[in-house]
Amino acid sequence: MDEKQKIDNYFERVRQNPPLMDIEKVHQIITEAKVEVKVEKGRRNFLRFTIMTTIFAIIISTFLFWPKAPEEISNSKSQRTNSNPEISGQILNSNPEISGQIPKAILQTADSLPLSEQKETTIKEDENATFFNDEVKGEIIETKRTINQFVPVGFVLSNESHKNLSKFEIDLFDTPDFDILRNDYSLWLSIKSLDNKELALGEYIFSPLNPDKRPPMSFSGAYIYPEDSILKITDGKLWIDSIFSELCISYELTFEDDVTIKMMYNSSIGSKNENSLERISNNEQEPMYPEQILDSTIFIELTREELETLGFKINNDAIELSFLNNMFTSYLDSTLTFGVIFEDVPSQKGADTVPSKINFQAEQLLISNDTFNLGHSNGEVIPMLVTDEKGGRMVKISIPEPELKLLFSKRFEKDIKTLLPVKMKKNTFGNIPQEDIVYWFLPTDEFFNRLPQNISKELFGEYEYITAEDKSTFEKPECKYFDECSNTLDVSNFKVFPNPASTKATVSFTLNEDIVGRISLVDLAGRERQVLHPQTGLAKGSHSVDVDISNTPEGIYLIALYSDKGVQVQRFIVAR
Amino acid sequence: MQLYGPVHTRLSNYCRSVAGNRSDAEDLLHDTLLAAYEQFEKIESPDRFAGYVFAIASNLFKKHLRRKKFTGNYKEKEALLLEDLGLDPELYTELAVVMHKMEQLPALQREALILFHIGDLPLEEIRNIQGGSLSAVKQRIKRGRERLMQLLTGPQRKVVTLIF
Repeated sequence: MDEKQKIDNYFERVRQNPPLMDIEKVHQIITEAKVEVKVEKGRRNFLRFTIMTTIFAIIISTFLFWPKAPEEISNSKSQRTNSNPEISGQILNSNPEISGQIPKAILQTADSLPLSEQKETTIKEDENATFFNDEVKGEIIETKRTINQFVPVGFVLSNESHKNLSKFEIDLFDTPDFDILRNDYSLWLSIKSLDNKELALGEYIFSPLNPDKRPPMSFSGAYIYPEDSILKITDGKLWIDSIFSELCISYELTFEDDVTIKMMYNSSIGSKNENSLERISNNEQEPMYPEQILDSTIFIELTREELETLGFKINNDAIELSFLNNMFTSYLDSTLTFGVIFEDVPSQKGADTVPSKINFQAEQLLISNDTFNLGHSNGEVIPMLVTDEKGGRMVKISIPEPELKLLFSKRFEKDIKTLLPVKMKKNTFGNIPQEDIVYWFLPTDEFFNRLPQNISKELFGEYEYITAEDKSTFEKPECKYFDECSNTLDVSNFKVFPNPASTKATVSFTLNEDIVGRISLVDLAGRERQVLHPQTGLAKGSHSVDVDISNTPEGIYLIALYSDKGVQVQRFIVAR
Repeated sequence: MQLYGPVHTRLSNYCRSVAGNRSDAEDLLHDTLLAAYEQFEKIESPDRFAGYVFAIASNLFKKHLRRKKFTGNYKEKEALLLEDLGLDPELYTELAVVMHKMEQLPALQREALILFHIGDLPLEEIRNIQGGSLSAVKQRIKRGRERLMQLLTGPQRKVVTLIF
C-alpha cells in the first residue's frame, strides 16, 4: 500500500467511527439547554430592567444634586433673599425647563445637606450584626469594583466611643505594576487612623488572576500591625484583630466577577456574647504569626563567555541552546518567547525541521522515551525548566523519569530537586533577554565539565553536605546554591512527595525534639506565599502532613518548616 | 434537530480527531451543542449550519487547549480514533502510524486536513473557520498532505509530542 493510499485509508476509517453519542442523547442535551436558556432569559430581562431603572435614577439624581459654582449659588441665594418680588415670583413659578433654573426648594435641600450626611447614605445598618452583642454598633460598608478597574476607595468608620482608636480610614488600592503575565495580583492594604498615623500597610499577592481559576480564590498570609494587632487573610476573608480584645474589625473579600468588599465593625467594649466569641473562636485555628522571610535562593550567575561555554549562542536575535544530540534547540527571542525547534532527523542536520514555538506560560515540551532509543551519552547540557527569578514557571521540558535518572551525573543520584539554576541576567546577549531568566539544568556530567571549575567544586561540596546522613562528619560549606544547605532545624528525613506535584503533596519528617512550627510554601525570593499547615505544636517523632496545592500557581518553590528552633527547607516543584 | 442530524457523525468524528481522549471528545461535542443552541438565532442561512457548528467546535477546542484541557497521550488518542473499528492488528498499526504523523503537522495544516477529509466541509467553510484566503486553505490542505507523505516515507522517527 503506498503512502497516499494509507492516508486516504486513514481518513476513511476515521469517518467510519460511530458517533460519540447517539441522537437521543443530543435531543436530551438540547431539551435541558432550552430550560436553562428560558431561565437565563428571565434573568437577563430582570437585569435589563434593573440597569434601566438605575440609569434613570442616576440621571434624575445628577440633575437634582449637580453642584453649582459658588458664585452661581451665592447669586441664587441673593436672588432668593434680595431680589424684588417679581423676580422671586419668576423663580417660584416659572417652568424650570424653560428658565433653566433650579426650583428654590431643591436648591435649599442641596445647599443645606452637610457633606457628612451625604457620605452616610452609603452606609447601611448591618442586618447580620446580631452575632455581636446588643451594644454593638455593627455597620456594613459594601462596594463593588471590577477587578481590572480596581481604583482607590476609602472607607470611614466612626466609633466615637472608643478613645484609643476613634476612627479608621481604610484604603484599598491596586499596585501600578500589576503584572498579568505572572498571574499575580497585588493588593495593597493601608490602614490609617484619622490623624494620618499609619497602622498597617501590607501587600498581598493574589494568585492567579486567571479568570479560569476563580472563584473561589484563596490566599493566606499574616501581618502584624505596628501596634501589635494582627491582620490575617485566609480563605477569601481578611480578618483584622486588634490587640484590644473588645475591638474587632473584619473584612470579607470575595472574588467573583466583581470584587466585593464587605466590612464589619464591632466595638463591643468589655462584654462579648457567645456568638461573637464563637465567630472568633472559629478562626483560632487560622495562622496568626509574623511573616518570615528566608534568604532568597542564590543562582549560578555566569558571564556571557561562560554561558557560551555552556552552549548558549545568539542566532537571529534569539538565544539558542541545543540539547539531546542537537535534536532539540531551545530559543529565547527578543519578545520573551521561549520556543523549541526539534529536528526529527538528526543525521540531516538543518533539514526537515518542524519549528514549534512554545509560549512562556505554563507550556511544556514532552519528550517521549522513544526519543532515547537512538542512544545517548551524558554529553548533554539539558535545561529542564525556564523560570523567572521568583521561580514562576515559564516552560517545562519533561523527560520520562527512567531516562532522566540515566542522564544524571553519577555524583547526583537523588531526585529532581537537584536541578541547578543558572541565571541569565537581563541584556547578557545584547538586548536579550529582556528580564532575568533562570535556566534549571539537569545535573549531567557534561554540565559540570562546562561550568567554571570553582563553581563545580562548590556545588559538589554543598550537595555532599545536604545529602549526607551524618552531617557532623562534614565541615559546613558556604551554602550558596542549595537552599537545603542552610537548614538550621534538627530534622531528619524531611521529604516532600510527589515532587513535582500537581494538586496534593505529603510532607514527612522526623523530629528529634518537640517544636512549635508550621509548614509554608515560600517562593525563591524567600517570601512566604502560602501557609500549608498552620502553626501548631509538633512532638518528637515522625510526622506526615498532607498539603493541598491545587490553587498554587505552577513554579519552583521551597517547602519550609518554620519553627521556634530553626527552619528546614526543601525545593519543591508545582507542575500540572 | 433537522439541521443537525446530517452533521452529527461528522462533527462527532471531528471532535474525536482533535481531542486527546474520549471524555474530552464528548465534552467538546457537548459544549459545541450547547453553544450552537444558544447562538442558534445568529445563523444567517440554514445552508451554513454545518460550517457554523464546526466553527464553534474549532473555537471551543482552541479555547480549551489554551487552558490545557484536551491533551492526551499517544495511546489515549489512538484508542479514541481507532477503538470502534474492529481493525486487524496490522491495519491498526498502519493507521496508528498515520495518526501519529498527523499529530506532527503544524496546527493549521492538521486542522484543515481534518475539516476537509473528516468533517467533509467545503473549502469556503474551512476558510470561514480558519481565516485567510481560499487559496491559503487549499495550500494548507495540499501542503498538509505532502508533509504527511513526507513524514510517512522518511526514516523511522522518534516519538515527540509537543503540547501547546
